[in-house]
Amino acid sequence: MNCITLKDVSYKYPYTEDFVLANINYQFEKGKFYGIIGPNGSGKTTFCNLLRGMIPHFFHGDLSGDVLIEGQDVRDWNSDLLSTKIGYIFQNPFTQISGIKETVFEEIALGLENLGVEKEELIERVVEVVKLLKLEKLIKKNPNNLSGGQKQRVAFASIIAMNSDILVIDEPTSQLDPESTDEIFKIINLLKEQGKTIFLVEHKIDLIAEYADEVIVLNQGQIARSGLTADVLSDLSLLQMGVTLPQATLLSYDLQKIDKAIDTISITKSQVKDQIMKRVGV
Amino acid sequence: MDYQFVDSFRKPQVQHNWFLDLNPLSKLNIIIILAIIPILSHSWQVSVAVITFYFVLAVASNRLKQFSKVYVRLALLIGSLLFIMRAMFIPGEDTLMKIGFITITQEGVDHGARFASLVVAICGALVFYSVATQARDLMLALEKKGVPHTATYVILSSLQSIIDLGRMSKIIMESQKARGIETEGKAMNRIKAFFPILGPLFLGAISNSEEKAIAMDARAFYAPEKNTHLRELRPVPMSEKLILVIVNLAFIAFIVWRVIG
Amino acid sequence: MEAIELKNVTFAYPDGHVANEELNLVIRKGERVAIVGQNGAGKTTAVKLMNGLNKPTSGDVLVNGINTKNQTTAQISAYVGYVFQNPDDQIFNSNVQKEIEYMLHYLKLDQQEIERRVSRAVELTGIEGYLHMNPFDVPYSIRRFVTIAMVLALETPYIILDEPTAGQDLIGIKTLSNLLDRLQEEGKSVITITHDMEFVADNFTRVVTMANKRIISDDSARNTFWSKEIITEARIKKPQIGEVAEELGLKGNIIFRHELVELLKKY
Repeated sequence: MNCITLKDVSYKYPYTEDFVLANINYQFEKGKFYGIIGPNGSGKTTFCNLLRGMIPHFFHGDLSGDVLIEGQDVRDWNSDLLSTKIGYIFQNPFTQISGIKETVFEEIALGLENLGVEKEELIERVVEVVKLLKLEKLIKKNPNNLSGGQKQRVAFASIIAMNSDILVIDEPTSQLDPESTDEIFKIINLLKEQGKTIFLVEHKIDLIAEYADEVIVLNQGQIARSGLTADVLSDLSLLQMGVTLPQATLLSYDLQKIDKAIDTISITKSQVKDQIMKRVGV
Repeated sequence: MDYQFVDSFRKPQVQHNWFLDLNPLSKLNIIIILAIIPILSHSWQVSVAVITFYFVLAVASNRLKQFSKVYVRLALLIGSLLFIMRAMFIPGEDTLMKIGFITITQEGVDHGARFASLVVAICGALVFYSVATQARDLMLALEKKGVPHTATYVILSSLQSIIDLGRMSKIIMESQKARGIETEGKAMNRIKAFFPILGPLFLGAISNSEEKAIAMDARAFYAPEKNTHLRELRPVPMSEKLILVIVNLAFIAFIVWRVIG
Repeated sequence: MEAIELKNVTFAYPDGHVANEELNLVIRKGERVAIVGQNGAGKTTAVKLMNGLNKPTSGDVLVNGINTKNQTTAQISAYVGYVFQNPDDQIFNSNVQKEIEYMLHYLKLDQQEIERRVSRAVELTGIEGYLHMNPFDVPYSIRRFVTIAMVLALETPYIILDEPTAGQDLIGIKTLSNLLDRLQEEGKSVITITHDMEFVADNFTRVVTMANKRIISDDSARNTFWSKEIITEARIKKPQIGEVAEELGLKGNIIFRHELVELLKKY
């Protein structure tokens, strides 16, 4: 079932000359994990704003073509309903904290309060999310005094608590250390397993290779490549666009040069490990 | 996880102190009356009595330290300044002493004492209310009375943004130092370093506000449902209502007595 | 001595919260050092000790032999340039060029010298196309290069980069990598905090690892990534190639792809 469909979509921000997105066509299916990659300035964040319905409801400008969210034109959606339908987590951890709550626990509860969730259910859901994101030690702290990485995790928890069907996530790990990054990816994957549709913008290509079902490569406002993760991330021409490929992919190509028997290209660590094991004969 | 903390949200927020646990609006009611009494009475003795009463309340509500930390300094500064200005410049017939061209009169001293103590008493109301009531509790009480949560959000987030601006200016001062601008030592250095950051400081705050709006939208801030509250205030007990009625009636009686008498 | 030296340095905030404990570190002229570790391990407070923004609570920090205790941060800044983690904290001017020139005018350099320094900084960071834009309109990942250019223009012997790799694409990473090479050729020291382990392996031979407020290791990238104790305590990761080699039980402490391929050729 399609969850979001883009037909010939182009967009430019108000008071600007150039289109940030041009001729975008894609059908996104429900329950899949989409990785969105591309060099900086290729339109990834604008793409998120489009998927989230911020375009045209918050950012005006020129939108042409059709954006269908669950079959209904985005222009006909009530923007308040969209905000509960599609969760949105973005890069900057500092602006995502509300600034009106004095503990992390209350901060996470804010979205649920706004949705009118009754107290007992509200507390249970916040507790659940706190456990999921391992925020137990932070719940009594003032969210305004946390570090960037901690704020990002709290922002993440706050959106997850709202339990929307679709999540648009724009570079959530750029401030995080490797361990927290891995944890965030595991959680995103868990959400996918719960049936949510995930759109994730991310530079950490190894993790996209590991988890995404499909990958969209944006370049200069257009979809340059798209399709199954294994197909897209084994395309060496991405390097010319300024997109990093997984180390596993590059290793797999190197192996192919020394071993003609290798006929597929791996994109993840475990796949390339299997290929090596076959060669070494372990 | 600290389940005791989690459970605290299941019960009304209380601090086990009879005054602090009054409804924020009840406290506001009482404090407003306390602020008006010295205005109506025109006597420094009443003002001083009210000021003393704030200290008594502060002790009773376990807030003496916080209250006096701010209030004593403020009262001394404003009180002495107003008293001296009035005492020196109000003309009168009963001269107490002459210093150069300044003549201090009994009328000036009386007037100064009255005025200074009045202003200090009013400041006391503000300071005491702010230490005895958390802003978020007041907002919660207002929301319960039907004030939209957009309004309370604006107030609470403005309070936070004052703190944020302070923090931001500290960071920007650090970055000024790091690039070689002398901010230590002479006051002139500090002023010179601080001036150029004011523009960016406020521009930064404004450019953040767009993202903040998006973030709040993502938290369903504009959702059509009536919002609920994780924290709840104690329901106003009968005794509190009774006290308020008595206090208000006494106050009306006092006004009537002032007007007729 | 031409070096930044930390001698038994402990740093606590005024509220008593200890952020760094007993740091000992020498960074010589021309050296290139990566600092890695978890969020909250004390990396940023440690580098702020090096440029005098933080003054040690006990112990001493010497920059080219000068004790930072007796100097203002502005005085130390003639030796140590510091690029903040968040570029927005460091930007004041209405366009990029003015931003880079600002300190050069403050230092009363002549016009010719200003032009030379600006063009060098701009070339190293690849921001030619943005010089006349308002810094706040420059995309976030490029804005970081604006602040790097601004610090480069000061031409200090030591440069600290606080998480320059965050949010960078392949082009940005390459620019940083070239920048490090150029600065080393010029004999400058660069201290870089980063979470990007591939970047560390590719660009640094010396890696300082921090955990729980302390320096727990100061070693080559290879030894760091192949030490179980360091990986576990600092909760960092090997580069992916290293993980593959480890999981396959291959010998030789491999961290690079070409090493792994060379080894596999033998089979």
